[in-house]
Amino acid sequence: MNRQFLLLLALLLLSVAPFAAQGQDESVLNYAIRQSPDTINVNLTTASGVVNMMSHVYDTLVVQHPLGTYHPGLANSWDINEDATEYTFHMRDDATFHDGTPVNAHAVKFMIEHIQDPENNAQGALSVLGPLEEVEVVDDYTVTFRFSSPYAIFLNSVSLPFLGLNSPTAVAEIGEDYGLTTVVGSGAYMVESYVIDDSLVLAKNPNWTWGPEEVFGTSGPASFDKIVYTFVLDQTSRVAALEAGQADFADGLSTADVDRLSAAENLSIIAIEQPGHGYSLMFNAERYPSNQLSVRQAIASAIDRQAVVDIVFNGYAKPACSPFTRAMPFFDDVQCQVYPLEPDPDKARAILEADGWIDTDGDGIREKDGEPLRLEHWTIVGGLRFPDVSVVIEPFIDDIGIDFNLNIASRAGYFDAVRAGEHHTQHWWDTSIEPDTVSRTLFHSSNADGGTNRNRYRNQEMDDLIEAASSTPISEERAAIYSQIQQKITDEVVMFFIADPNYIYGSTKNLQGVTFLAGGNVVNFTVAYFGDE
Amino acid sequence: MAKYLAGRLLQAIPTVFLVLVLVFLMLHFIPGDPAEIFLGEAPTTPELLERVREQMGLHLPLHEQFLNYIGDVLRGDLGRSLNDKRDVLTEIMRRIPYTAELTVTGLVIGAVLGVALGIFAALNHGNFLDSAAMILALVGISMPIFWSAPLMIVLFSVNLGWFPPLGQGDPEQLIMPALTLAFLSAGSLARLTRSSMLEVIQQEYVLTARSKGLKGRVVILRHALRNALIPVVTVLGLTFGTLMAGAVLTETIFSRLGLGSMYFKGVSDKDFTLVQGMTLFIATFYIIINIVTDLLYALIDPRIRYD
Repeated sequence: MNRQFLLLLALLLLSVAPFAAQGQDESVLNYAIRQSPDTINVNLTTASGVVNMMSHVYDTLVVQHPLGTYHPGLANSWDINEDATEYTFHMRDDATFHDGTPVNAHAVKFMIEHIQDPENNAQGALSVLGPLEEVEVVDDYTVTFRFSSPYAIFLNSVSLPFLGLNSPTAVAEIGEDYGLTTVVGSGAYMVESYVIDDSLVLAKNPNWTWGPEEVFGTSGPASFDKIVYTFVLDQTSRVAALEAGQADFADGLSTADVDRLSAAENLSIIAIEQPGHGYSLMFNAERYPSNQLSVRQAIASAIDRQAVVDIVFNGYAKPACSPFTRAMPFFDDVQCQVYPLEPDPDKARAILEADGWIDTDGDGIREKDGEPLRLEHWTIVGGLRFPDVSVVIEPFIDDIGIDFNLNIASRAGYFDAVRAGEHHTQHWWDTSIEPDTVSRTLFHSSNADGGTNRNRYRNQEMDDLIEAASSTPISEERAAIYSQIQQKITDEVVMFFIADPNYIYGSTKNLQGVTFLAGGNVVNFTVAYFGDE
Repeated sequence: MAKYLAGRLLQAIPTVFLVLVLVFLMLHFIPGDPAEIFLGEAPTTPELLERVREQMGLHLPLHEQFLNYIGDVLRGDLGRSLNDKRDVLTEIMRRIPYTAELTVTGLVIGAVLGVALGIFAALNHGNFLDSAAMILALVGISMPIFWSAPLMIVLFSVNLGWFPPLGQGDPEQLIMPALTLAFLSAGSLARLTRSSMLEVIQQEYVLTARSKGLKGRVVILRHALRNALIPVVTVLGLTFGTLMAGAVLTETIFSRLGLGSMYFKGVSDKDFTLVQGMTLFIATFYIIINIVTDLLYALIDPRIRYD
């Protein structure tokens, strides 16, 4: 008995051996973030949350803030030829990477090669390069991009943190572990330590004097000595960290917690309308009966979008009025013109009846040619609000005589079903600041084979419109084309958009000077500080 | 003793192999393609999907994949994670200390609380205190981690501000997760200790000890408890497995680095190599714990010898 107890006691003591205390004189910001990165190399990540953290570590050629306004970043100036097939960037010559090597045109060319290397499986970064044909290093600080066809939106691409510059020397030296242990950029902060699935600690780069003054009001260095990101996957735990003061800032908060948190004396809630597209219903164009226009129109008339906003999002969202959210460039409220916010179930029933869908056996479900009107709806369990949206819209759809069958599945089961096209309907939602990305991922036929276009919508006219928009340099003309796209999607009810959510951040009240880049997706603390308002 | 140990270790080999086969088959037969999960929602082409499958080695026939894997394991290589390419063995080694401190502390607190509560109940057999203790034990058994852990965070971190809710490294950060795990095991240990004690107390040698004039404390601790502990030790060994499972939830909720949170992520991403490596490790560990438990019997009860 005694021997055992001693053994157990010894183990106990060993396990709680004292750990070194941290220094207290530095200014440190603690952020409880919802995502655990796949890699912290922005060129290769598939996780959009990584760019949130890494906007501090990487610089880009151009800085966009607010959306649609471009400022010099690592490039002092740029020239674009008339048909938008050639972009030349004139870079500043005083910037260095955290390892001391110069930031120059060779590093830009290296970045593109790094992204295009098939071994690297880059996706996010690769998808914004468009019809890129060639990158030419004109001289040490001048670089030219050439495209095989007009690509009018490339300035947006080079402003995205996905195209942040890595030190070519460091990538070569660190090899396979680059992005898993550390990265070397040229930004306001350097990676001090990165522990996979645990935390990322950034330390101020004292040499950073090439910041975008028009955005931050200073060209550097940054204000906090350190930024500590802790990866907290559990939502309740993130809220607790904020309430207990272990975190100064947290993201991905539940709309259910927001009212309570706003009431807390030392906390404030920041809600920002998301650019991209709202929570939506995708209709499979290759399966009967979701390929029937009448069925899609009836559903669009029946769903009460305000109910979803109130019940699922606790008011922190707006009913969707277009394939683009209101915070998106070229937003046009066509969907609200065709389908007013007030639902009209009688109209929905009339549409179905006119098309021959009639409940002949009195079981509450309509039939046509002896086949019941049944839709297999697939959705995924996880951090997003998809299952909640499904549950709220189901009664509206059932009510007009459609058997709307919910299949709520895990990640793996869901992917199997929807990639194979077994669904009639499914939800989607995404943030993006580029109308081209939204239209292309959702509606372009090149993504219809088990890709992101799970509408399986193939329409030559739509493909042409998407290509035309991305190759039109003049903003007014692009706006007209995007209006056409939004109109066509609404008229054909390719997808129905339900609610435009907000980004919801929680912050301690004394945190000032936070910059929300990329339409609110990227939270930047370069000039943030603790102090009174 | 050495012969016994060698025999036990030999028996362990087919067990571990069976575990490997089962896990391999289960992972391959549940729905979901790791390549698709890896690519997630980003724009994907069928060619890209195919290339990723090849990189992951998923294009090979099932038996080849399995043989390749076994070969690597025998060379001491658990492979790299399909998802983010980190070395699985390094990753396990890095996380062991955190999970060890969590489960060992949880087990120690759980055992002390459970055994003490059990003795207390047995000594007050039949009266009000006995019932109170057993109700307390029932509460401990019935509280699921996903409920008790957030509750503790709300009470001790948010309202009282005693402990930080997240992370690992400081003893302060260990207390709440360890208590969560301790409650899980303390309840059943208390019930077991109580019934075992009741049985032993009625034995004649206890009566003999008492009639020799020994103090009550000595009789209970030296004569009765020692014999009552044998079934408790068995369960304690098994509890270690429960605690490893409990660590999955506990580490996720308290955002602790450890084997549990890694397992959770590996399963949801269908990261074959990661889950296989972890399972191999945990199975081996579990077998060792079982052998150690058997050896402990001899320590407690001199009548048991392994010759």
